[in-house]
Amino acid sequence: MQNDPQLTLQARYAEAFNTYRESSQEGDLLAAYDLARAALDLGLPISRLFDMHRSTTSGLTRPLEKTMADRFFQGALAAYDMALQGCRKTAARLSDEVVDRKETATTLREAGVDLTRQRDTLRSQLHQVTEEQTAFTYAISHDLMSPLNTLRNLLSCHGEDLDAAGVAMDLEALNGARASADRMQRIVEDIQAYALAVGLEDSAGTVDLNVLLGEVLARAEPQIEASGARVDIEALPVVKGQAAQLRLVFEALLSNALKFNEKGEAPEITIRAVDGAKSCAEIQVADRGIGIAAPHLDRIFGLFQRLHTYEAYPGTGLGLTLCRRLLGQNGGEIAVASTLGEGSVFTVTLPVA
Amino acid sequence: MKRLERILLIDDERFDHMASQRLLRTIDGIGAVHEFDHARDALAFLAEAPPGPGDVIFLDVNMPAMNGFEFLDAATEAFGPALGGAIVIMLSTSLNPADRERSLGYEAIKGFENKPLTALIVERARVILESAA
Repeated sequence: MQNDPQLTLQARYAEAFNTYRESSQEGDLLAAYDLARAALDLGLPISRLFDMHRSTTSGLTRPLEKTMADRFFQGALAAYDMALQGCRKTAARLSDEVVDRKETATTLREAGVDLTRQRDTLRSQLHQVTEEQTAFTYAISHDLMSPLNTLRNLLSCHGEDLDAAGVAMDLEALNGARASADRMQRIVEDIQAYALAVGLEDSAGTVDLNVLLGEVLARAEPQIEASGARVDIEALPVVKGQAAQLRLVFEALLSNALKFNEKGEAPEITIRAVDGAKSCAEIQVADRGIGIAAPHLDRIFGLFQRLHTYEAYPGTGLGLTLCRRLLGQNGGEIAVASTLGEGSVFTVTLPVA
Repeated sequence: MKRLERILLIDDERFDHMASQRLLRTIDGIGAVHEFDHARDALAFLAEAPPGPGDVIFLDVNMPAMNGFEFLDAATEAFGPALGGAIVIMLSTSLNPADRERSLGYEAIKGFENKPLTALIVERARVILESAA
Protein backbone atom coordinates (compact mmCIF):
# COMPACT_ATOMS: atom_id res chain seq x y z
CA MET A 1 0.00 0.00 0.00
CA GLN A 2 2.79 2.35 0.88
CA ASN A 3 4.23 1.74 -2.56
CA ASP A 4 1.16 2.92 -4.38
CA PRO A 5 1.63 6.66 -4.68
CA GLN A 6 -2.02 7.18 -5.60
CA LEU A 7 -3.27 5.47 -2.48
CA THR A 8 -0.68 7.29 -0.38
CA LEU A 9 -1.88 10.53 -1.89
CA GLN A 10 -5.50 9.59 -1.09
CA ALA A 11 -4.49 8.98 2.51
CA ARG A 12 -2.56 12.25 2.67
CA TYR A 13 -5.59 14.07 1.25
CA ALA A 14 -7.87 12.63 3.91
CA GLU A 15 -5.35 13.44 6.66
CA ALA A 16 -4.78 17.00 5.48
CA PHE A 17 -8.49 17.70 5.12
CA ASN A 18 -9.27 16.32 8.53
CA THR A 19 -6.49 18.46 10.05
CA TYR A 20 -8.05 21.50 8.42
CA ARG A 21 -11.55 20.51 9.46
CA GLU A 22 -10.49 20.19 13.06
CA SER A 23 -8.35 23.31 13.21
CA SER A 24 -10.35 25.58 10.89
CA GLN A 25 -7.04 27.40 10.40
CA GLU A 26 -6.38 29.09 7.06
CA GLY A 27 -2.80 27.85 7.28
CA ASP A 28 -3.93 24.27 7.08
CA LEU A 29 -5.58 25.03 3.72
CA LEU A 30 -2.07 25.26 2.26
CA ALA A 31 -1.83 21.50 2.50
CA ALA A 32 -4.43 21.37 -0.31
CA TYR A 33 -1.96 23.20 -2.60
CA ASP A 34 0.81 20.69 -1.86
CA LEU A 35 -1.54 17.82 -2.56
CA ALA A 36 -2.64 19.30 -5.88
CA ARG A 37 0.98 19.75 -6.96
CA ALA A 38 1.77 16.20 -5.89
CA ALA A 39 -1.18 15.00 -7.96
CA LEU A 40 0.14 16.89 -10.96
CA ASP A 41 3.62 15.45 -10.44
CA LEU A 42 2.08 11.99 -10.50
CA GLY A 43 0.26 12.88 -13.67
CA LEU A 44 -3.15 12.43 -12.11
CA PRO A 45 -6.01 13.96 -14.04
CA ILE A 46 -8.24 16.46 -12.33
CA SER A 47 -11.05 13.88 -12.21
CA ARG A 48 -8.88 11.66 -10.01
CA LEU A 49 -8.31 14.59 -7.70
CA PHE A 50 -12.07 15.01 -7.52
CA ASP A 51 -12.48 11.30 -6.76
CA MET A 52 -10.06 11.63 -3.85
CA HIS A 53 -11.94 14.65 -2.59
CA ARG A 54 -15.31 12.94 -2.83
CA SER A 55 -14.24 9.75 -1.09
CA THR A 56 -12.76 11.88 1.72
CA THR A 57 -15.74 14.19 2.19
CA SER A 58 -18.83 12.26 1.02
CA GLY A 59 -19.79 11.32 4.56
CA LEU A 60 -19.97 14.91 5.75
CA THR A 61 -23.41 16.17 6.60
CA ARG A 62 -22.97 19.42 8.53
CA PRO A 63 -23.23 22.52 6.37
CA LEU A 64 -20.11 24.10 7.89
CA GLU A 65 -18.07 20.97 7.18
CA LYS A 66 -19.45 20.87 3.64
CA THR A 67 -18.40 24.49 3.14
CA MET A 68 -14.94 23.71 4.51
CA ALA A 69 -14.69 20.71 2.17
CA ASP A 70 -15.57 22.96 -0.75
CA ARG A 71 -12.90 25.53 0.26
CA PHE A 72 -10.29 22.79 0.65
CA PHE A 73 -11.10 21.39 -2.79
CA GLN A 74 -11.15 24.90 -4.28
CA GLY A 75 -7.67 25.38 -2.84
CA ALA A 76 -6.50 22.16 -4.45
CA LEU A 77 -8.12 23.11 -7.76
CA ALA A 78 -6.60 26.59 -7.62
CA ALA A 79 -3.10 25.12 -7.16
CA TYR A 80 -3.69 22.58 -9.89
CA ASP A 81 -4.93 25.32 -12.17
CA MET A 82 -2.00 27.62 -11.40
CA ALA A 83 0.42 24.82 -12.17
CA LEU A 84 -1.38 24.20 -15.45
CA GLN A 85 -1.20 27.91 -16.34
CA GLY A 86 2.54 27.73 -15.73
CA CYS A 87 2.64 24.75 -18.00
CA ARG A 88 0.84 26.68 -20.66
CA LYS A 89 3.38 29.49 -20.51
CA THR A 90 6.13 26.96 -20.72
CA ALA A 91 4.30 25.35 -23.57
CA ALA A 92 4.00 28.72 -25.29
CA ARG A 93 7.70 29.32 -24.75
CA LEU A 94 8.42 25.86 -26.08
CA SER A 95 6.30 26.42 -29.13
CA ASP A 96 8.10 29.75 -29.68
CA GLU A 97 11.32 27.84 -29.48
CA VAL A 98 10.03 25.33 -32.01
CA VAL A 99 9.17 28.21 -34.36
CA ASP A 100 12.64 29.67 -33.79
CA ARG A 101 14.27 26.39 -34.56
CA LYS A 102 12.16 25.97 -37.66
CA GLU A 103 13.29 29.39 -38.79
CA THR A 104 16.89 28.47 -38.07
CA ALA A 105 16.42 25.28 -40.03
CA THR A 106 14.95 27.26 -42.92
CA THR A 107 17.85 29.73 -42.76
CA LEU A 108 20.29 26.86 -42.75
CA ARG A 109 18.53 25.21 -45.63
CA GLU A 110 18.53 28.47 -47.58
CA ALA A 111 22.21 28.89 -46.78
CA GLY A 112 22.69 25.39 -48.10
CA VAL A 113 20.85 26.28 -51.30
CA ASP A 114 22.94 29.44 -51.49
CA LEU A 115 26.14 27.47 -51.11
CA THR A 116 25.01 25.06 -53.79
CA ARG A 117 24.27 28.00 -56.04
CA GLN A 118 27.65 29.52 -55.25
CA ARG A 119 29.30 26.22 -55.96
CA ASP A 120 27.48 26.00 -59.30
CA THR A 121 28.47 29.57 -60.13
CA LEU A 122 32.09 28.87 -59.24
CA ARG A 123 31.99 25.68 -61.23
CA SER A 124 30.63 27.44 -64.30
CA GLN A 125 33.17 30.24 -63.83
CA LEU A 126 35.93 27.66 -63.66
CA HIS A 127 34.52 26.03 -66.76
CA GLN A 128 34.48 29.40 -68.53
CA VAL A 129 38.04 30.17 -67.47
CA THR A 130 39.16 26.75 -68.67
CA GLU A 131 37.38 27.29 -71.99
CA GLU A 132 38.95 30.73 -72.31
CA GLN A 133 42.32 29.23 -71.50
CA THR A 134 41.86 26.55 -74.13
CA ALA A 135 40.78 29.08 -76.74
CA PHE A 136 43.74 31.25 -75.73
CA THR A 137 46.14 28.33 -76.11
CA TYR A 138 44.83 27.41 -79.56
CA ALA A 139 44.83 31.04 -80.65
CA ILE A 140 48.37 31.60 -79.38
CA SER A 141 49.64 28.41 -80.93
CA HIS A 142 48.08 29.34 -84.25
CA ASP A 143 49.33 32.88 -84.19
CA LEU A 144 52.86 31.80 -83.30
CA MET A 145 52.79 28.87 -85.70
CA SER A 146 51.73 31.04 -88.60
CA PRO A 147 54.83 33.25 -88.89
CA LEU A 148 57.04 30.35 -87.88
CA ASN A 149 55.64 28.36 -90.76
CA THR A 150 56.18 31.26 -93.12
CA LEU A 151 59.72 31.60 -91.83
CA ARG A 152 60.53 27.95 -92.44
CA ASN A 153 58.89 28.11 -95.82
CA LEU A 154 60.94 31.09 -96.88
CA LEU A 155 64.17 29.61 -95.58
CA SER A 156 63.52 26.36 -97.44
CA CYS A 157 63.16 28.30 -100.72
CA HIS A 158 66.63 29.70 -100.21
CA GLY A 159 69.13 28.65 -102.80
CA GLU A 160 66.70 26.74 -105.01
CA ASP A 161 67.33 28.87 -108.06
CA LEU A 162 70.83 29.99 -108.77
CA ASP A 163 70.17 32.33 -111.71
CA ALA A 164 69.91 36.10 -111.34
CA ALA A 165 66.14 35.97 -110.86
CA GLY A 166 66.63 33.32 -108.20
CA VAL A 167 69.06 35.48 -106.27
CA ALA A 168 66.56 38.32 -106.31
CA MET A 169 63.92 35.95 -105.00
CA ASP A 170 66.30 34.78 -102.31
CA LEU A 171 66.70 38.34 -101.15
CA GLU A 172 62.95 38.78 -101.02
CA ALA A 173 62.64 35.52 -99.12
CA LEU A 174 65.26 36.61 -96.63
CA ASN A 175 63.50 39.92 -96.09
CA GLY A 176 60.27 38.03 -95.60
CA ALA A 177 61.91 35.68 -93.14
CA ARG A 178 63.17 38.60 -91.10
CA ALA A 179 59.68 40.19 -91.13
CA SER A 180 58.19 36.93 -89.95
CA ALA A 181 60.68 36.65 -87.12
CA ASP A 182 59.94 40.27 -86.14
CA ARG A 183 56.29 39.51 -86.10
CA MET A 184 56.73 36.48 -83.90
CA GLN A 185 58.78 38.52 -81.50
CA ARG A 186 56.06 41.11 -81.37
CA ILE A 187 53.40 38.52 -80.62
CA VAL A 188 55.48 37.04 -77.81
CA GLU A 189 56.10 40.52 -76.39
CA ASP A 190 52.41 41.40 -76.56
CA ILE A 191 51.40 38.15 -74.88
CA GLN A 192 53.93 38.86 -72.15
CA ALA A 193 52.55 42.38 -71.66
CA TYR A 194 49.04 40.98 -71.65
CA ALA A 195 49.77 38.36 -69.01
CA LEU A 196 51.61 40.93 -66.91
CA ALA A 197 48.82 43.49 -67.11
CA VAL A 198 46.01 41.06 -66.37
CA GLY A 199 47.91 39.64 -63.41
CA LEU A 200 48.72 43.08 -62.03
CA GLU A 201 47.21 43.27 -58.55
CA ASP A 202 47.62 46.83 -57.41
CA SER A 203 45.10 48.35 -55.03
CA ALA A 204 42.55 50.56 -56.77
CA GLY A 205 43.03 54.23 -56.11
CA THR A 206 41.84 57.47 -57.57
CA VAL A 207 43.22 58.24 -60.99
CA ASP A 208 43.18 61.72 -62.46
CA LEU A 209 42.71 60.95 -66.14
CA ASN A 210 44.08 64.39 -67.10
CA VAL A 211 47.42 63.41 -65.60
CA LEU A 212 47.25 59.86 -66.91
CA LEU A 213 46.45 60.92 -70.49
CA GLY A 214 49.25 63.47 -70.28
CA GLU A 215 51.67 60.65 -69.59
CA VAL A 216 50.18 58.45 -72.29
CA LEU A 217 50.47 61.26 -74.80
CA ALA A 218 54.06 62.00 -73.85
CA ARG A 219 55.02 58.37 -74.42
CA ALA A 220 53.29 58.32 -77.82
CA GLU A 221 54.97 61.55 -78.90
CA PRO A 222 57.24 59.88 -81.51
CA GLN A 223 54.27 58.21 -83.26
CA ILE A 224 52.18 61.36 -83.03
CA GLU A 225 54.94 63.39 -84.59
CA ALA A 226 55.69 60.84 -87.30
CA SER A 227 52.05 60.64 -88.37
CA GLY A 228 51.40 64.38 -88.05
CA ALA A 229 48.43 63.57 -85.84
CA ARG A 230 46.32 66.13 -84.01
CA VAL A 231 45.28 64.90 -80.59
CA ASP A 232 42.81 67.05 -78.61
CA ILE A 233 42.26 66.20 -74.98
CA GLU A 234 39.43 67.95 -73.17
CA ALA A 235 38.94 68.15 -69.40
CA LEU A 236 38.69 64.60 -68.01
CA PRO A 237 37.27 63.26 -64.75
CA VAL A 238 38.95 61.61 -61.79
CA VAL A 239 38.06 57.92 -61.68
CA LYS A 240 38.52 54.87 -59.50
CA GLY A 241 40.89 52.17 -60.70
CA GLN A 242 44.42 50.87 -60.97
CA ALA A 243 46.53 53.53 -62.64
CA ALA A 244 48.93 51.10 -64.32
CA GLN A 245 46.10 49.13 -65.90
CA LEU A 246 44.17 52.20 -67.02
CA ARG A 247 47.35 53.57 -68.61
CA LEU A 248 47.59 50.41 -70.74
CA VAL A 249 43.97 50.82 -71.79
CA PHE A 250 44.41 54.37 -73.02
CA GLU A 251 47.78 53.56 -74.58
CA ALA A 252 46.13 50.82 -76.62
CA LEU A 253 43.20 53.04 -77.64
CA LEU A 254 45.49 55.90 -78.65
CA SER A 255 47.78 53.53 -80.51
CA ASN A 256 44.80 52.17 -82.48
CA ALA A 257 43.50 55.65 -83.24
CA LEU A 258 46.94 56.62 -84.54
CA LYS A 259 47.29 53.45 -86.56
CA PHE A 260 43.97 52.88 -88.34
CA ASN A 261 44.03 55.71 -90.86
CA GLU A 262 44.27 55.87 -94.63
CA LYS A 263 47.88 55.84 -95.69
CA GLY A 264 49.31 59.36 -95.64
CA GLU A 265 46.33 60.87 -93.83
CA ALA A 266 47.09 62.67 -90.58
CA PRO A 267 45.06 61.19 -87.71
CA GLU A 268 42.57 63.43 -85.89
CA ILE A 269 41.86 62.21 -82.40
CA THR A 270 39.67 63.65 -79.66
CA ILE A 271 39.62 62.38 -76.08
CA ARG A 272 36.76 63.81 -74.03
CA ALA A 273 34.40 63.10 -71.16
CA VAL A 274 30.73 62.60 -71.91
CA ASP A 275 28.56 65.10 -70.04
CA GLY A 276 25.61 64.01 -67.99
CA ALA A 277 27.10 60.70 -66.89
CA LYS A 278 25.77 59.77 -63.45
CA SER A 279 27.59 57.41 -61.14
CA CYS A 280 30.01 56.45 -63.89
CA ALA A 281 32.46 58.46 -65.89
CA GLU A 282 32.33 58.03 -69.67
CA ILE A 283 35.39 58.87 -71.70
CA GLN A 284 35.39 58.80 -75.47
CA VAL A 285 38.38 58.24 -77.68
CA ALA A 286 37.22 59.34 -81.11
CA ASP A 287 39.15 59.17 -84.37
CA ARG A 288 38.43 60.05 -87.98
CA GLY A 289 40.19 57.01 -89.35
CA ILE A 290 39.14 54.13 -91.57
CA GLY A 291 36.33 52.97 -89.29
CA ILE A 292 34.92 49.49 -88.81
CA ALA A 293 32.20 47.82 -90.85
CA ALA A 294 29.10 47.02 -88.77
CA PRO A 295 29.36 43.21 -89.04
CA HIS A 296 32.83 43.33 -87.51
CA LEU A 297 32.01 45.53 -84.53
CA ASP A 298 31.40 42.76 -82.02
CA ARG A 299 34.43 40.84 -83.21
CA ILE A 300 37.15 43.40 -82.57
CA PHE A 301 37.32 42.71 -78.83
CA GLY A 302 37.95 39.00 -79.42
CA LEU A 303 41.30 37.41 -78.76
CA PHE A 304 43.74 37.77 -81.68
CA GLN A 305 40.96 39.09 -83.90
CA ARG A 306 42.20 41.25 -86.71
CA LEU A 307 40.34 42.91 -89.54
CA HIS A 308 43.30 43.65 -91.78
CA THR A 309 46.32 41.86 -93.13
CA TYR A 310 49.50 42.31 -91.21
CA GLU A 311 50.98 44.16 -94.18
CA ALA A 312 48.17 46.72 -94.21
CA TYR A 313 48.00 47.39 -90.46
CA PRO A 314 50.45 45.46 -88.30
CA GLY A 315 49.33 44.27 -84.90
CA THR A 316 48.64 41.15 -82.94
CA GLY A 317 44.91 41.41 -82.27
CA LEU A 318 45.48 41.63 -78.53
CA GLY A 319 45.03 45.34 -77.82
CA LEU A 320 41.24 45.62 -77.54
CA THR A 321 40.97 42.22 -75.85
CA LEU A 322 43.32 43.57 -73.21
CA CYS A 323 41.32 46.81 -72.92
CA ARG A 324 38.09 44.99 -72.28
CA ARG A 325 39.70 42.64 -69.80
CA LEU A 326 41.46 45.38 -67.85
CA LEU A 327 38.38 47.60 -67.74
CA GLY A 328 36.38 44.64 -66.47
CA GLN A 329 38.89 44.23 -63.67
CA ASN A 330 38.41 47.89 -62.79
CA GLY A 331 34.62 47.82 -62.74
CA GLY A 332 34.44 49.46 -66.14
CA GLU A 333 33.37 48.69 -69.68
CA ILE A 334 34.23 49.52 -73.25
CA ALA A 335 31.94 50.00 -76.21
CA VAL A 336 32.45 51.06 -79.80
CA ALA A 337 30.49 52.91 -82.40
CA SER A 338 31.89 53.27 -85.88
CA THR A 339 31.15 54.18 -89.45
CA LEU A 340 33.26 52.65 -92.17
CA GLY A 341 35.40 55.34 -93.75
CA GLU A 342 34.45 57.99 -91.21
CA GLY A 343 36.00 56.90 -87.96
CA SER A 344 35.40 55.14 -84.69
CA VAL A 345 34.42 56.19 -81.18
CA PHE A 346 35.49 54.01 -78.29
CA THR A 347 33.60 54.78 -75.09
CA VAL A 348 35.22 53.77 -71.83
CA THR A 349 33.04 53.63 -68.72
CA LEU A 350 34.70 53.77 -65.29
CA PRO A 351 33.47 54.32 -61.73
CA VAL A 352 33.94 57.92 -60.62
CA ALA A 353 36.23 58.55 -57.67
CA MET B 1 46.79 13.78 -116.10
CA LYS B 2 43.94 15.97 -115.01
CA ARG B 3 44.67 19.60 -115.53
CA LEU B 4 44.00 22.01 -112.64
CA GLU B 5 42.25 24.74 -114.59
CA ARG B 6 42.21 27.37 -111.91
CA ILE B 7 43.84 27.57 -108.53
CA LEU B 8 42.69 30.14 -105.99
CA LEU B 9 45.04 30.84 -103.11
CA ILE B 10 43.18 32.60 -100.30
CA ASP B 11 45.44 33.63 -97.46
CA ASP B 12 46.29 36.84 -95.63
CA GLU B 13 50.00 36.00 -95.45
CA ARG B 14 51.87 37.64 -98.32
CA PHE B 15 54.94 35.48 -97.86
CA ASP B 16 52.88 32.31 -97.84
CA HIS B 17 51.50 33.37 -101.22
CA MET B 18 55.03 33.90 -102.43
CA ALA B 19 56.10 30.42 -101.37
CA SER B 20 52.96 28.80 -102.80
CA GLN B 21 53.42 30.57 -106.15
CA ARG B 22 57.00 29.48 -106.24
CA LEU B 23 55.96 25.87 -105.66
CA LEU B 24 53.15 25.93 -108.24
CA ARG B 25 55.54 27.20 -110.92
CA THR B 26 57.45 23.92 -110.61
CA ILE B 27 54.37 21.72 -111.11
CA ASP B 28 52.98 20.77 -114.52
CA GLY B 29 49.34 20.72 -115.52
CA ILE B 30 48.30 23.88 -113.79
CA GLY B 31 46.29 26.65 -115.40
CA ALA B 32 45.79 30.09 -113.89
CA VAL B 33 46.80 30.84 -110.32
CA HIS B 34 44.95 33.64 -108.54
CA GLU B 35 45.95 34.86 -105.12
CA PHE B 36 43.84 36.83 -102.66
CA ASP B 37 44.85 38.53 -99.41
CA HIS B 38 41.22 38.89 -98.38
CA ALA B 39 38.51 36.26 -98.62
CA ARG B 40 36.01 38.90 -99.72
CA ASP B 41 38.18 39.69 -102.76
CA ALA B 42 38.08 36.01 -103.73
CA LEU B 43 34.31 36.07 -103.33
CA ALA B 44 34.05 39.09 -105.63
CA PHE B 45 36.30 37.33 -108.16
CA LEU B 46 34.10 34.22 -108.12
CA ALA B 47 31.00 36.35 -108.58
CA GLU B 48 32.48 37.44 -111.95
CA ALA B 49 33.91 34.04 -112.87
CA PRO B 50 31.89 31.36 -111.03
CA PRO B 51 33.57 28.20 -109.72
CA GLY B 52 33.48 25.09 -111.89
CA PRO B 53 34.96 21.60 -112.30
CA GLY B 54 38.75 21.69 -112.29
CA ASP B 55 38.95 24.58 -109.85
CA VAL B 56 40.93 24.10 -106.69
CA ILE B 57 40.66 26.56 -103.82
CA PHE B 58 43.35 26.49 -101.19
CA LEU B 59 41.75 28.24 -98.25
CA ASP B 60 43.34 29.52 -95.05
CA VAL B 61 41.20 29.23 -91.90
CA ASN B 62 42.31 32.18 -89.79
CA MET B 63 42.10 35.41 -91.74
CA PRO B 64 41.15 38.91 -90.73
CA ALA B 65 37.67 40.27 -91.42
CA MET B 66 36.34 37.13 -93.12
CA ASN B 67 37.74 33.78 -92.10
CA GLY B 68 37.83 30.63 -94.22
CA PHE B 69 34.55 29.24 -92.89
CA GLU B 70 32.75 32.53 -93.34
CA PHE B 71 34.01 32.60 -96.92
CA LEU B 72 32.62 29.11 -97.47
CA ASP B 73 29.27 30.07 -95.97
CA ALA B 74 29.03 33.01 -98.36
CA ALA B 75 30.26 30.93 -101.33
CA THR B 76 27.77 28.14 -100.52
CA GLU B 77 24.98 30.67 -100.48
CA ALA B 78 26.06 32.12 -103.83
CA PHE B 79 26.97 28.92 -105.72
CA GLY B 80 25.40 26.03 -103.78
CA PRO B 81 27.13 23.52 -101.48
CA ALA B 82 28.96 21.80 -104.36
CA LEU B 83 30.48 25.12 -105.56
CA GLY B 84 29.87 24.06 -109.17
CA GLY B 85 32.31 21.14 -108.85
CA ALA B 86 35.23 23.15 -107.50
CA ILE B 87 37.08 21.56 -104.59
CA VAL B 88 38.28 23.28 -101.47
CA ILE B 89 41.36 22.26 -99.52
CA MET B 90 41.69 23.96 -96.14
CA LEU B 91 45.24 25.00 -95.57
CA SER B 92 45.93 26.15 -92.07
CA THR B 93 48.30 26.37 -89.16
CA SER B 94 45.34 25.93 -86.85
CA LEU B 95 45.96 23.19 -84.32
CA ASN B 96 42.40 23.42 -83.07
CA PRO B 97 40.61 20.10 -83.66
CA ALA B 98 37.31 22.02 -83.67
CA ASP B 99 38.35 23.63 -87.00
CA ARG B 100 39.05 20.26 -88.58
CA GLU B 101 35.75 18.93 -87.27
CA ARG B 102 33.89 21.93 -88.59
CA SER B 103 35.29 21.38 -92.06
CA LEU B 104 33.49 18.02 -92.23
CA GLY B 105 30.22 19.95 -92.43
CA TYR B 106 31.03 21.44 -95.85
CA GLU B 107 30.43 19.42 -98.98
CA ALA B 108 33.02 21.31 -101.01
CA ILE B 109 35.86 20.77 -98.51
CA LYS B 110 37.83 17.74 -99.68
CA GLY B 111 40.88 18.09 -97.49
CA PHE B 112 42.26 19.71 -94.36
CA GLU B 113 46.00 20.19 -94.59
CA ASN B 114 48.66 21.88 -92.53
CA LYS B 115 50.63 24.67 -94.11
CA PRO B 116 52.78 25.00 -96.13
CA LEU B 117 51.40 24.01 -99.51
CA THR B 118 53.45 21.11 -100.87
CA ALA B 119 53.62 19.24 -104.17
CA LEU B 120 52.05 16.28 -102.40
CA ILE B 121 49.00 18.34 -101.40
CA VAL B 122 48.62 19.58 -104.98
CA GLU B 123 48.81 16.02 -106.33
CA ARG B 124 46.23 14.87 -103.81
CA ALA B 125 43.90 17.60 -105.02
CA ARG B 126 44.45 16.39 -108.58
CA VAL B 127 43.50 12.81 -107.60
CA ILE B 128 40.32 14.06 -105.95
CA LEU B 129 39.39 16.02 -109.06
CA GLU B 130 40.09 12.99 -111.31
CA SER B 131 37.92 10.68 -109.23
CA ALA B 132 35.14 13.26 -109.23
CA ALA B 133 35.24 13.64 -113.00
